[in-house]
Amino acid sequence: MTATASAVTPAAVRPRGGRWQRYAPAALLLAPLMAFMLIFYLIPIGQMVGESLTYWSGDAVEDKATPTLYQYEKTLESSRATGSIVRTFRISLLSVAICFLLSYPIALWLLFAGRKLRTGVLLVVFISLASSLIVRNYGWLVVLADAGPVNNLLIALGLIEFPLRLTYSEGAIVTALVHYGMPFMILPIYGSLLRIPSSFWEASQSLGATSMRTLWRVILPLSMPGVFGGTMLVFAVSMSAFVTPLMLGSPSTAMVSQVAAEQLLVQLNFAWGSAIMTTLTVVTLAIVVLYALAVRKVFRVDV
Amino acid sequence: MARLELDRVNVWLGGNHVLQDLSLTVEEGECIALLGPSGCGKTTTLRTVAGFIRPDGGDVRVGGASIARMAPNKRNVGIVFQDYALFPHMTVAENVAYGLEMRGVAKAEREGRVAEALDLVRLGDFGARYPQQLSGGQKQRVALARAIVIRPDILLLDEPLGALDRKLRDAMQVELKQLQRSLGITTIIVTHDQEEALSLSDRIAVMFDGRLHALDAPDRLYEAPDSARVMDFLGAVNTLSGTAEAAGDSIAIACDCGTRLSAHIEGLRPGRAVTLGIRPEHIALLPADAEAGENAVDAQVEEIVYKGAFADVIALTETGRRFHVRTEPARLADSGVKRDAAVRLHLPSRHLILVEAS
Amino acid sequence: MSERSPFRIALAALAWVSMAFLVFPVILTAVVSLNDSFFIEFPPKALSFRWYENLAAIHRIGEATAISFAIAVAAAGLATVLALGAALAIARHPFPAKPGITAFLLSPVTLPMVAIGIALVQFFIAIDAAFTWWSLAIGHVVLVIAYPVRTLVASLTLSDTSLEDAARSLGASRWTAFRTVTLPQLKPGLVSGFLFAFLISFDNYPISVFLVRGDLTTMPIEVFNYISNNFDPTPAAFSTVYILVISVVIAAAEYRYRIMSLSIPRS
Repeated sequence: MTATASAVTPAAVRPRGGRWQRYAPAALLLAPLMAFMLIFYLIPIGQMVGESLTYWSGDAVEDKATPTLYQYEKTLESSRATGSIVRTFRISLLSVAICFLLSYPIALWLLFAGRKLRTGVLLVVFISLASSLIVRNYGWLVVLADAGPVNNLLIALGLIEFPLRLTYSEGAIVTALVHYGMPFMILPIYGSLLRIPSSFWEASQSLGATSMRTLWRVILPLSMPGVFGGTMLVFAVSMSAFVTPLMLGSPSTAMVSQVAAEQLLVQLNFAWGSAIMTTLTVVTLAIVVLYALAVRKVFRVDV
Repeated sequence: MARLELDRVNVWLGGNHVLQDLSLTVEEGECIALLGPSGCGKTTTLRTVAGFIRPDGGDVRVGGASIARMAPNKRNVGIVFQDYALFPHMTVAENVAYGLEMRGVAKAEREGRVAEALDLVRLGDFGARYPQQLSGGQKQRVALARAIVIRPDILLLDEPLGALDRKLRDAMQVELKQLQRSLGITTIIVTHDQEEALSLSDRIAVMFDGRLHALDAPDRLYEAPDSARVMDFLGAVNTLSGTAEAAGDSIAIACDCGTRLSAHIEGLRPGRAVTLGIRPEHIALLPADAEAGENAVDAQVEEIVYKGAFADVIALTETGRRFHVRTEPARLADSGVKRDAAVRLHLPSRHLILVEAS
Repeated sequence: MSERSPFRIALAALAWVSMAFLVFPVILTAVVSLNDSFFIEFPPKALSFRWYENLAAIHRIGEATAISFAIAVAAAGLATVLALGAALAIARHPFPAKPGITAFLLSPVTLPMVAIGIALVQFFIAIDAAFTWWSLAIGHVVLVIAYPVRTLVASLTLSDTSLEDAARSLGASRWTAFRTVTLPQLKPGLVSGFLFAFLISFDNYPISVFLVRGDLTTMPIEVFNYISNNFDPTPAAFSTVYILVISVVIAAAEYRYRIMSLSIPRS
């Protein structure tokens, strides 16, 4: 660029710098984390997917060069794998539903609560969120124990004669997953309820709606972004549950993560374990995307 | 449509006595504006009529029947909220139909009435749109349609034009006034905008500190307020103090502006201290050498503030009183008034407001 | 809607029942931890602190806790530093595919942890670095990265950029303005991001279980193993101590930095 030319278009008044100049600050700030995530997250995940496409039956060193869907066919043929997928889906749906029914009233109630009560309840929710999953699951081992409070209460009420085996069951897993998911459900719902102006409640009531109808017709639809966020998170967490079914379930209630981990840690079958986890991840993501599209269409909200 | 009575209403909120013995009657079909500074209790009054606040004392009656203990959804009150509160997940038509649906109006009738209401606010073709797709003025009209479609006994408007820009506000003022008049709904408008109150209402209720201070027609309230506080709150005013002296058929007031003002005020006995007010637009600005008639005050121009349609002149008398004069910019040029120039102010006696005698 | 409307009463009742469900296991565990009985039993029969004294019986608990603590500090610290840069880019600078890149950085929380564990162990084996302290720490950075990214983006969005402009107009350099004006505003975001990252890492089992072997172990793994192999209430004592410590930490962080309002998603 000549001196004359630069006098005509000085750098400062050029409508916009080059692409690089424009994005340089962002690129420099993002680079360290992006590099880290590329190496230690994206590449390993890619390798896992690659591993799942190899032929490895466990007894000999086989040809690893050509990609094959062998492991996925095996997954579909294995009743233990398909059974765990169906079970995981069932448990997750149930957990999300119950978790929603328990959490929404808390979130709504927080909206009306005084400052002290609200802070107290939020503290309890945050402490739950922050406390160990193992500790919380152990709490359910205590509550549901043979000589635990639930059994003793049922006996005291004369409903049963001998303690029921409540632990190591699908019911126990669902209970613990609901408990684990509640903070994830309460916080986003509360967040989106906070964004609904109080005039919406009042407008609905002044037009003749009862509180219940206002909730159903106005508040619930408008809190859908939070409901979606919460249900999606709890669903994803339940679909990938591992520690909870290990602690509160039995071999006959194995969830997908358990079946895959077994292949890796016990059978040392990396290929099949990877295929099962890839399947779980893809299925979960597909359901979440479909769910998001459905919510977007029905409730006209951006999620 | 019915007469609304607030009878010695008292409301306490968070330890504050927000409404104190408020009594106010809005006649059938009348439109009253509640005007006052923020925190004066005007919004509380509106919310009490709507049923969002239960009065701690007193009664609220519509058409003679008490509604003080009635839930908001049982009262037949239409409200236009400050932020409109249009439900964003419903179309315009669904929003307007909402109140009818809650009242169990059959679908066919509902559709007819919704179309009618939308036509009334000139939004007949907008039923299928969502609120986000409307302009501010259109949202305001949808909110109005939603409030009137239920044929309310009382219509409450909370700062109805506050969110609109100046131009739109002026247009909507006219529209709103015509609509209210043609429907004949008993209406309360809450506003802190004097112009809105003056132009929209049949009567204005001025509130301070939870009490009703004045209730009168807009022009009477503006021209002849009966307290210094109301005079001061409604528009700009020059306040003068002085002492009444007897002088023929009118009364002369020795004023702190360094002159004697004559005023036609009945029943004022000589010797009383008085407070006088005069609106800036009522003071005539004359050249310094103009004939010194009645009620003339000599002053020096301190500042001229050009405001487009008018100009504000600040003039200082020798006694140190500042006068605020509003005039047409063209007049300034004609009379050669400029900064530091000497001028003569004429305070016409018919525009002098006597607001306080002590 | 008044405070005493049937709707509000029913809502409060439902909310209290749900809250009871949330709190019930914790209280029960604390009660059981003080019971003298060798088995989990409720109601308790006799008061005793023997299970607290028995905490040392959890295999290598001291060592495992020290490792977990060090890993959590390292992972949360590195994650917070890396996240700060990324959050600044997301909140303050334009770049292409922003929603996609943001979603990518937040995605580890929605991916099954076992998948991340399986992927990482294969990766570290391939580069001959598996089952080392630092490979475990790196795994935990991936695990926790979404938390500081989210809280820092939230607090940067809330913070006022005009303050930084004001500092610059008063003569501060870009770096000084950032250090003296922006960074103090970010404190709650940094604290809550670090805190949640630390807690998630400290408690992790599903990723660690793939990345540890031999001498390398973590507290959750040892506690989990103890619970799997023993039925005495020692873990109840452990749980009670854990919850008490967490409660103090969260309450203190809320009192000092108001972390809660920042962590409520406003979508």
